[in-house]
Amino acid sequence: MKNRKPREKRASFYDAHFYNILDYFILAVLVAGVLIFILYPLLCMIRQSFVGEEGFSTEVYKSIFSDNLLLVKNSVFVGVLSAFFSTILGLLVSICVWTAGKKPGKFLEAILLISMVSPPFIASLAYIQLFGRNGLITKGVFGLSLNPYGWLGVVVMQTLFFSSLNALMIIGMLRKMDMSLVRASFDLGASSGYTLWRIVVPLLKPVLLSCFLLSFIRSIADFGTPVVIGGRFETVSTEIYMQVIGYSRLDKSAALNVLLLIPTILVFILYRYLMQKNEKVISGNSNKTVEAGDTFRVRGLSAMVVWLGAGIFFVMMTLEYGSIFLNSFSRNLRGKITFTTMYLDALLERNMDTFIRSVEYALIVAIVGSMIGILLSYYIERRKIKFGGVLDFIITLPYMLPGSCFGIGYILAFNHEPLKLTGTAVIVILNMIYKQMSITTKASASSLLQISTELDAAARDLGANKFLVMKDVILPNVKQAFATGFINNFTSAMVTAGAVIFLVTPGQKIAVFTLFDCINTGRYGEASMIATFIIVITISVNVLFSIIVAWKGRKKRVFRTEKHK
Amino acid sequence: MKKMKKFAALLLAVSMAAGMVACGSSDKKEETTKKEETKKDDKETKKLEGTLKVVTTGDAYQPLFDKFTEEVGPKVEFISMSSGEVLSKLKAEGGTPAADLWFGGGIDAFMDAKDNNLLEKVDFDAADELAPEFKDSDNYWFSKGVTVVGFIVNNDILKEKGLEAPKSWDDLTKEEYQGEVLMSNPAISGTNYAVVNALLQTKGDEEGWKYFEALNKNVDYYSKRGSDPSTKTAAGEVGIGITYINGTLDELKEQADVDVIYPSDGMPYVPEGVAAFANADNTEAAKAFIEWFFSDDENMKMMAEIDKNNTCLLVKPSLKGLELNFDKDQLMKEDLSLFGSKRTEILDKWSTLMGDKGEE
Amino acid sequence: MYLELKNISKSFGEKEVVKDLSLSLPKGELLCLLGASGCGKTTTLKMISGFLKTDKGQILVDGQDITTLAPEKRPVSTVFQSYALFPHMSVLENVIYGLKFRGIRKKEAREMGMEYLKIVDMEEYAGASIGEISGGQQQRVALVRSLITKPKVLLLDEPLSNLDAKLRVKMREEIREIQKKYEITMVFVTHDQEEAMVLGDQIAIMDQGKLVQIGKPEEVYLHPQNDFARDFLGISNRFTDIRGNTICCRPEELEFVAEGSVKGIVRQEEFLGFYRQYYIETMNHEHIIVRTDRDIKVEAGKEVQLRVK
Repeated sequence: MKNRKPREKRASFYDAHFYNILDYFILAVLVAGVLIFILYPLLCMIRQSFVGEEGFSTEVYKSIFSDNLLLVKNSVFVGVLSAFFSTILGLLVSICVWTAGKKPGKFLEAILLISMVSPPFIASLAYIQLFGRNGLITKGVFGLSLNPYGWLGVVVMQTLFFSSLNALMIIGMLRKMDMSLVRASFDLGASSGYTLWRIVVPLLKPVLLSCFLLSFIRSIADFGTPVVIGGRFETVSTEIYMQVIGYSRLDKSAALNVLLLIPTILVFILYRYLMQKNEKVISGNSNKTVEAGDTFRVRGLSAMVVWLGAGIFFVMMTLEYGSIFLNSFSRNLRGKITFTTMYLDALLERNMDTFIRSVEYALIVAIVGSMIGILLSYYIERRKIKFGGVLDFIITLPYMLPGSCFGIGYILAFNHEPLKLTGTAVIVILNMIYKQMSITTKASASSLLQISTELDAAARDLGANKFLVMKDVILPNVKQAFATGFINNFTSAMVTAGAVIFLVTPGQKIAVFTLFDCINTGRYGEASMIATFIIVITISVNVLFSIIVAWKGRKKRVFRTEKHK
Repeated sequence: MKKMKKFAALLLAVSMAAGMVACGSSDKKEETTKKEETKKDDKETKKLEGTLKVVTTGDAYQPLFDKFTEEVGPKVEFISMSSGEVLSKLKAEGGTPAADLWFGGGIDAFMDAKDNNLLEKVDFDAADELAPEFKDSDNYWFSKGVTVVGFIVNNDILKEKGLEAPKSWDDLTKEEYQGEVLMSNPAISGTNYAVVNALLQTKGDEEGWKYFEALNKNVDYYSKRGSDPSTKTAAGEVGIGITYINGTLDELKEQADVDVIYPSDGMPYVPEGVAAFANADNTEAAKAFIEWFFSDDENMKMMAEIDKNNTCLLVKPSLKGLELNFDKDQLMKEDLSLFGSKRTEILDKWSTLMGDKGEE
Repeated sequence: MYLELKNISKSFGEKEVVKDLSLSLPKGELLCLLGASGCGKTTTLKMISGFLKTDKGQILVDGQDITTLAPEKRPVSTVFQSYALFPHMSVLENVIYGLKFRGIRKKEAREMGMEYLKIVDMEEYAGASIGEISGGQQQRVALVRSLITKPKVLLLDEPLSNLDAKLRVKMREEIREIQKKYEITMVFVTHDQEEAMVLGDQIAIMDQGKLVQIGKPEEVYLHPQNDFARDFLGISNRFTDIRGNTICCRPEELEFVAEGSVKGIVRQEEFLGFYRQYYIETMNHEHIIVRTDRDIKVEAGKEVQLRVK
């Protein structure tokens, strides 16, 4: 060692420049992507609201508030209720899964994962079939004739539907929790119930906030549920749907989208504020250790509350998915339910092209979308680039608005040179990628938080430049975020059609369209069969992918900082 | 070695950026091939090739499209969309439609599209054989048949409630049917728009609106999808649905004890349009399809078979071998020209009077 | 001087964390930056490594101004408090990570890595993953990962704080040994005064962003420049003698005598192995700690007189 003279601690001049340019290039491409494929279409859509008979006009805005105040109220009303109840239910379900022990926990988690895949309209139709005026349960079992249409039905459906994702998000947080805090609480003499409500739940505050915000946004952007079971109850989203589908008024629907943005942005700002306040509290408490074998059991009244909530959820989910499955294999012939393979035959007779195409698109969306999302969140959250907050907000926008708006924005933006994309597969894929981008960036942002910033610092200290830090340190450690992004992107690309319904051309039909077709012509049996098929495909791919990730992860053991040894 | 690494890093970076870069380039490729295709069509107009992209109302027409491919040439790709969706999409596309042919859908949307210069004029010999009231006088749109509207009733539900099935439109407003009638929002459903328009024309504006206000009392809510009244009636959610009458109801009859009722005081109807889009990629093929479809009776009969509906006889009275399954006189007297022109006015008034927004 | 900080300052918002700090260190020496948490020592270290920009002032290493260089271009390296080992790489991969930016071939790098692992007796763990090795071993890996890049100045940010007491003593000896053997210029941040005394060629005491005193351990201990320095380094007494003078002295500088400069009552007596410690309340109700030879035993409650040796 002595005989070697210390060398200049840096690589050659060209190396440094090459990578710096590369770094800026990637950043530029990412930012350009967000601006071109999110901001620009949204602006095009908003511009529509100012197009009158003769050029610029603010005509549609004149009465938009007074005409639609009630709709805004309805949207917010249902949004708050759905967000609140789905967060609570998600919490109960997650605690149930978390405390259920290894095997039952895995089983319940599997149900949760299945319930994440919810093809449009199908769940609401199942709900009506079960709980409608002539419902199998309400009338068949209890002899009641209830009217399920209205705001209550919408809240119930949305609560059930959103709870799955919420529960999964909360479970992720629970698994990462510092169990020494729980042990400390027991050690100091607290009961399991007290520990649960006073220690565990308060520690979950950030993720509960995220769940609430996410569910609120999903609720007010959701038109499928209120259209099917809202009855006379209307929201801004259903009115947008009416303006697009019924009246073909792009200007009005655009203005309504702008209107919808107001409550959404307010909630978003509130969320950012609360999160920042929370981050300070949490970041004070570093050096978490995860120890295997820690279990937590809830007893007494708390256990009853948890099991009641979770029980309702799991029973409802089983009923819902059970009835979808049953519908695809049975016919109700004047009260007699008979087994049939006619829907399966009809499905198999069909061109399988649509399914293959769906899977292809979804795979591209899952992989490319997750990559872009992770890179974006790296630059925004880790590198703290200028205007990162603005960028993050733009990324969140498509998720906040009803799908139709983002789809029409795409047609308006890309129907002419130099970016003529209408009619291609690319526009469909880009739309799917950017619609769901915020989920990936949020997931990878929280993954990035788990990676100590000292790792970045160490790499740079050793001579790695910013680009290599990303390549060597960040990317290998965000596998979990990639998995989350992949599964979310894949699932939503398989089941959502709101945005792409306007983008898909006759040559590129995807599976959800066939589903729409069947629903629109009233063939629910066939629709159920297609939904079953979509669910099976999506779950298979997701499980396969999870297995691959887990298998690759097994080679490297989990890292943990050991304090004393 | 070092260079190799640099190369690998570059490769990585490029693959990361692939999202956009690759998308851009592959798109161009697709576009150029598309342009080549259309060029080819221009050169060899008589032997039609390429692809005919169709927007239609359901996937049942596959055999008809197959027949066209076999006899004329172009491959057919189709997608189902509601008329409203088609119109919104056309307007957003700014004159560059993604499809060539529009096959089926309420005629009012076709009229709207014509007014917005979104349709292509199609002149052909057989056009003269078509009934003038069912086609555009300038040949911008035609009809492939008409959708007639009646009721579907669920006998179990009616029996349970001790109700008689309604026989006429006037019956529907009887107090005893409160909460038992389901109708689609006329803005969404061409069928139910036809109901509103036809009854207004038949009864006169004043009486007509009074009628709908009375009907409103029996309707819990107006569904936002056209198929809801029939399927929900069959499912027992309501006793009576105001619905199109076509082949899809047969399946419902198998599943539940439902009956189709042709109202004694007349049936509203709405023509189902056919048109070629202006500025489309393959207008030639679209025009060829329209000519092919209306010129050969076999094609129309095939469609009638698929639709289980012989109303194309109304459109082309010279058709042989088909019979209407209802009395033509049962159809309401409608001035179809008012369908398009009065649409906005009627729907506005309807939504104000029926309070479709606003009630909690 | 090999490392020179000239009038550097750093503020976070309103709060000035480092105020006009200047210090210098000759080549091959180890400087301990000592102070309570929040005194600005870690901030100073981060400014040397480049993770924080200085608001004012200059940093020179071997005559080169590095004030504005990016971290990866500075000829310094840091051993982090948490070690910051890359969890997805093996021990050896971690060690040779910095070499790839210095144009060293993989094969040569691996050989060098093994050589360096030998220095800390870790060569048999080369293929292990980070999660498999103990805290002390992680510490060694982090140390050689920095050493291998041959930094002109090695920075250590409380590197021993995550280890237990015994291991801490062992590791600090290892570090001292390596530092002496290879004549590495080091800056070692710590809040443990014993660690600072044992390790440092120089000790710099910081308080509220300012340098209080810098010098050899002996110098700083025996001749503290002010009360803070005295209090911070070891225990110190402060009392008024019979003539009314204020006296400051270390516990071991006092002895029991028949007639001294201060009187008091023994409140408590502790046997601490090689010495005894007495807690004494003076006539003025001030408290003094006295350390004596273990053979000298005085009962609690007894009246005594003391004088400064």
